[in-house]
Amino acid sequence: MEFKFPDLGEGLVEGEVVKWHVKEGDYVKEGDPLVDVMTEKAAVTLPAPTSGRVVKILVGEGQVVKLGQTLCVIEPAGEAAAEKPQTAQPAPREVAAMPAARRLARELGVDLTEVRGTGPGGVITVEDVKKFAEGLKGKEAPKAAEPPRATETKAAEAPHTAEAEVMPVRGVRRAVAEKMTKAKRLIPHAYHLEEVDLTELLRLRERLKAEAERRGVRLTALPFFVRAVAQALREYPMLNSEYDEEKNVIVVKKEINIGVAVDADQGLVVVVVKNADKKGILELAREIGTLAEKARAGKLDVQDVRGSTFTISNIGAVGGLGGLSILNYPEAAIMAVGRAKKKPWVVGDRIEIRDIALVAVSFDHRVVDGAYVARFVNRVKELLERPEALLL
Amino acid sequence: MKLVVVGGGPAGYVAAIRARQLGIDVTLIEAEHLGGECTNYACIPSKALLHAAAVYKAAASAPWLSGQLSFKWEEAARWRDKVVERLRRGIEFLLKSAGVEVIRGVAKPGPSKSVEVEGRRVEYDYLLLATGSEPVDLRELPRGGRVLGTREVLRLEKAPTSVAIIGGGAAGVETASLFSMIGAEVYLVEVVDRLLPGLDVDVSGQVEKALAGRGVKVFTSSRIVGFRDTGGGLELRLSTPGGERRAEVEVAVVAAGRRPRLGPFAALGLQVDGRGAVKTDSSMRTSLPWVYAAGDVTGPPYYAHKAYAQAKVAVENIAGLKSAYEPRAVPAVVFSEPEVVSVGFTEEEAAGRGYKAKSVRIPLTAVGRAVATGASEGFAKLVYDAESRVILGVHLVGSGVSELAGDAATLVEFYATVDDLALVVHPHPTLSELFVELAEAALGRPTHVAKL
Repeated sequence: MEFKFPDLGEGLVEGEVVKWHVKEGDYVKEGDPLVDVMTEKAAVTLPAPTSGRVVKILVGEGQVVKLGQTLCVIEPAGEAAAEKPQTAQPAPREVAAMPAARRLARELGVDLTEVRGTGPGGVITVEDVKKFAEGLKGKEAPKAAEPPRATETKAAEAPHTAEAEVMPVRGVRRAVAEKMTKAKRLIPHAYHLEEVDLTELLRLRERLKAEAERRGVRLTALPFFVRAVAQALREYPMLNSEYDEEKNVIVVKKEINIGVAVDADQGLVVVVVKNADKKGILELAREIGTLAEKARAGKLDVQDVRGSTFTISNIGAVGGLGGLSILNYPEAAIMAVGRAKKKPWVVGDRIEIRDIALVAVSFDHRVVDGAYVARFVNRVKELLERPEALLL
Repeated sequence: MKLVVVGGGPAGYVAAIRARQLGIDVTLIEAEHLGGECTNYACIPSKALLHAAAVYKAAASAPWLSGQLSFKWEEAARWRDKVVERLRRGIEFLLKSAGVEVIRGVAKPGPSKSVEVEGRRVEYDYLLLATGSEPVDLRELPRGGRVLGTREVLRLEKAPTSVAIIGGGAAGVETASLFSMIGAEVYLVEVVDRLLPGLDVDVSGQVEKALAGRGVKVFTSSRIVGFRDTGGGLELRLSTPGGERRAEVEVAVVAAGRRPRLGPFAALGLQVDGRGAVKTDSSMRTSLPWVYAAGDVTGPPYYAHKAYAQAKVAVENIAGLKSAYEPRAVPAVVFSEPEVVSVGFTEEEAAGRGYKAKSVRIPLTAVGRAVATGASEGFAKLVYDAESRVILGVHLVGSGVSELAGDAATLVEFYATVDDLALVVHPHPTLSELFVELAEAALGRPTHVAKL
């Protein structure tokens, strides 16, 4: 049987084969790890669909697979004994494409089965491949972040570059590269900045820490941010949306699923807390802790990284004043929280030493205007500065 | 980046040149002569000798020439050596001007990513194995003495008056053609029920008929069961469908095929298939990510043009380009007399692959040029898909058709339809007109064939 790249849902149309756990000729048991595939969102280990012998591996490590593309051929255990050449079965028709068109398709990563040929008898020409590739770019630009090695001159130059090391872009790095390029290219970003006084929140956290620990949860400030944002999004739903370029519509999401950017060993991974507006601080803390651990161990499941509607990046964990994030495509907004620093702060008519953090929201200006975002941020600020309300 | 290429044959030298074009630092290691089996012992010397023999045969049988002609094997051998030498030097020159370092000697794998040759260690980032193939021996007829291989027969010091050739594949049929043209008594023995077993059935039939017409004693479904050196010659015992036969010949030639040769590089533990061919993916990468292979060592077909194509793909991938060896048509050419071309699918293969396969066939007598040069023996056959009318295969038998193999491959690679082909004006009078004739025949309206 042919094992095809399965539909992992949520618009995941391609992945990169990172590692095969088997080689051709190996026997596998149903459920055994077969292959690691890096999707747009996470590394996923696909299990063997059946027990049997891996007859042929069709996609090498580092290659990109499309939804439905055959990854390998497994001869189910029962049939393995009767090994015979498959002459009786007519092979599927090949795609008719001119030699140079076939080569160009390979260079551009175009799947020829999707290209309509305009040559004699429907043969695919170089022009057809070019047009198809351009169409892709316009639509979702999936190849935009392709490492620039596809052209001959570039590759020829590479070995001469004595001063530089040329690194292949693979795995999470590649996923990040592709996603960022797509987001920056397609979404007109705008930004809104605000300073938030986290003194009360940090005190509250201090008070609750011991109790949380007793219940087996390490309490950080992050679940409070998630809770505050989730609550504010219920009042400002336009920021819990995405802009559909194809249909030119804004899709406002009903569920509030907060993505949390985690700095894992292999790079940036966004884990997702589903229905964050319906969860309490303790539950959020527990869930984020588990997800972060899984991310660092590289053991995330697809559902752990799928379906976020708004993303929070806790860049303050390392340091710095703050930062302006690139949107997590196709989401309409992302919030970056900087490090809380002790600062002289005007409270009423007095100057006090308070813990101040810079909060930056990047947003899709096609979806909303600055005033709307300012109101949303005000609401988040309010919730974070009077954190007791978050416990309700 | 550093590439080491092991083997200086068609795969190895082409890889080295392509690598330099891509800016890769290359060392090529060759144990014997640059150009490998092809340039030194097979394609090229055999073509030189076949040319010499064909000139003789044409002159000797032309009624408008008078006088006694004799074939001087020693002179033909000198011509052969001159040709080989010239092409070998050409390769040396090309490698030198490309900036390829060439080391003579037998390479073997060294520690980690290195090879050892002549007491030297050469480290690499990538290794390309182009170690070629070696002849398959017959247990019933071991090489040695009067039993020659395909290499040795081309290097004989004098022409044999009689020869038995064991193996009716391309090399066997070419050798039979060579010796029959210079007047030797030739036996051709093939274990399968037809000559050139891999090719179109009609092609096999035509070639067998043509060779028999030139006096070659063809035995199909036959094998050698015993032999004896009589001092002055060899006595072979053949098992044939008509019972046991004896043949007395001066020499026998074993042309029973070839098998991939890894030599000391078998120690790398690369994945190989049942016949010992190194397994690669379409980028020509082996089971070790830094080791690539190209040419005969990757298994049949054992063609230099396949080796060229694979070598370029391998090096392009090493350089980080996306390139794949997945040709639609690898032409097969047999330089027998008459010559044979087979490109793409036979009708049976095409049908087996789900095409609505149809074929048309025309005799070469339909082509004026073939008649004028006394080369009208043979036929042309076109296989196409009845639905899309795309050309799937071209099969030719006739003198001089080898030069049409590239055109045939172009038709198949470009998915040309019979309608396209019929509209391309082909020059008259040339052999290439057979293409138009075939296309028109497929459309049911041939001009120069009275009745199909």
